[in-house]
Amino acid sequence: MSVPFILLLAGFFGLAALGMPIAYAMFVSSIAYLVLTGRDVGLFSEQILNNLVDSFVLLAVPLFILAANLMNAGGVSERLLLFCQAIVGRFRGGLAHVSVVANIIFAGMSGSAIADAAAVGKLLTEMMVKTGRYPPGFAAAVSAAAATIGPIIPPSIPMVLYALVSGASIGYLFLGGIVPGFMMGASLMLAIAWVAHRRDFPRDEAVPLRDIPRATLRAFPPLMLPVILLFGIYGGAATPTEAASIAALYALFLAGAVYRALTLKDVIDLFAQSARSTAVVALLIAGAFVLNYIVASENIPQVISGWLQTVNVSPIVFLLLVNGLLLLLGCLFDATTLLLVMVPLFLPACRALGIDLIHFGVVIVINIMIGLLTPPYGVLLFVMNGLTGIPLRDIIREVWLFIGILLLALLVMIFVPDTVLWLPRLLGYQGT
Amino acid sequence: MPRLADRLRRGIETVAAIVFAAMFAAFILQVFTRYVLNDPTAWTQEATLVCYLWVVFWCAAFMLRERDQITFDMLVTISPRRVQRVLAAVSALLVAVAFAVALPGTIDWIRFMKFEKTPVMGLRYDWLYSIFIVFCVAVVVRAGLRARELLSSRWERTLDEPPSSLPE
Repeated sequence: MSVPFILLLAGFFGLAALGMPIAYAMFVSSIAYLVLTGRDVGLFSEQILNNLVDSFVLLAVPLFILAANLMNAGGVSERLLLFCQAIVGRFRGGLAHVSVVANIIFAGMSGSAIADAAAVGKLLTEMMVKTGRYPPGFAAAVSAAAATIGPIIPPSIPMVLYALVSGASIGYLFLGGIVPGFMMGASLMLAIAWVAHRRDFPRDEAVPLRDIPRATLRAFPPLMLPVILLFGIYGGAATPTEAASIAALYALFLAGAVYRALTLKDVIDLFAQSARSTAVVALLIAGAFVLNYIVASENIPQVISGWLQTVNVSPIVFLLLVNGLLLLLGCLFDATTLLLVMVPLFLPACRALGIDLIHFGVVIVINIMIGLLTPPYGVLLFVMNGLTGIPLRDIIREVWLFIGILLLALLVMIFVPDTVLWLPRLLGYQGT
Repeated sequence: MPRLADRLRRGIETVAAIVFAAMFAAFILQVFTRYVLNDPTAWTQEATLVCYLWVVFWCAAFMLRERDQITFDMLVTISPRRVQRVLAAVSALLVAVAFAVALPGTIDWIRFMKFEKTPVMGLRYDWLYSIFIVFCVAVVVRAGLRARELLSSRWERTLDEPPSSLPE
């Protein structure tokens, strides 16, 4: 580890702490490093441009962003909520259960937790608060916690980013997320049932069983979107990127032609907005390309994996250590930065220890999504606070229970790799 | 001249929307020719990548505001306003200087890429990558202007600039 490299790290963290956008903090510290080590500054653009052009899988990200934006604008969320209410609204704490189920379904169409919180979380939190029976903090905490399922059940933008840095198969990563996603949903609903019983939350008026077919029919077209995605990918027909483009086209068709919720101006705005979000993610990726090039040229991952071998940790201890570290960092950093900058450091050690990269990837993505809930820097808490105006303090007080139960689920997934790997293996995954 | 600025912004956004739509269309075309016609075209994959590169750096150069980007603002938001102003000005200055330093090397390398062409469409890489030079220049200019505004009497407006509005 050279002196310029230590300066690079100090510079990156220091600049980020000054409030410089994280992507620019990576650019600025990398440029400073190249100048200090007397290398060609052109390496900066070379790493960014050649890597971006080589990463065809990245193109799934704008398509997933577009599909989610189209679904939100097209009034799809409301239709899905009515469907979920018909199914689980009858239980005590009905609306809280609706929030979880709606997020599971929405997770099958969008690949981002923040998009889910904006689509489903806002609506449901407002509905819960309106009844006057749920404390606002609880309502927002449920919505924030349920949104973490979004990138676990495919599609998933964080998993695309993990595939990019690890070289693991996106198709198998997506499959690996399905069972854990449902486990997270089930554990959240258990926690809700317990709280609802203790605090005597209301039941919704039960939707008569004979009305359920109609609610299902109304929600049917958007419910087909996850089906299209999954069959496209696992029927072997399409790559995840291609399936994403079909999903986006279907969403455009639904919102534009079927529900007629879009004008031409809306479409232009939606495309421009999707372009903007794409650029935000791509800049972080570009910064990570340069930073990771420098990290690799300083042999840092080898140093870490060599050190791990000398202290002789077992795979399970390694997994627990990495998870603990990422949870701590998750209190301070956002998901994309952790995935692109921190996770590559651990990958050589993972390979050396024989840890399955699909198992590792799914567990790490779940861990980082839980990090979106942990104060002080929990993006989902901020999003719910921004969307509903419910004070952060109230949300944080109620969210601990859900963080706890999600961590329990995560522990089960760490100790029982089959929770992640069963489904991929069933469909032909050959890994360890 | 607020109207001119508004129209300019609208124009920039429309260009981004069109390039994004073109990327989407090329993708759909690729899927269509591959699975429906069973005769995949090779140029569509290249076209999507070209559009992706251009849309990303176009938006980053002209559309993204400071607040649109992912920022670690925990320490900044709890500090007094005047400290915030100084930090924001220092950070903008550093960005402007760093990108200005990187600019000559970037231009050299991209000019050198004129000897390479994309495999299918035969586009010259120096043309393809030129948007990155536009981006770097835009970052230097915009960060420089931001620093100047933060040091002037209009600093509060610059500091409080909201993120780009989301479509409803």
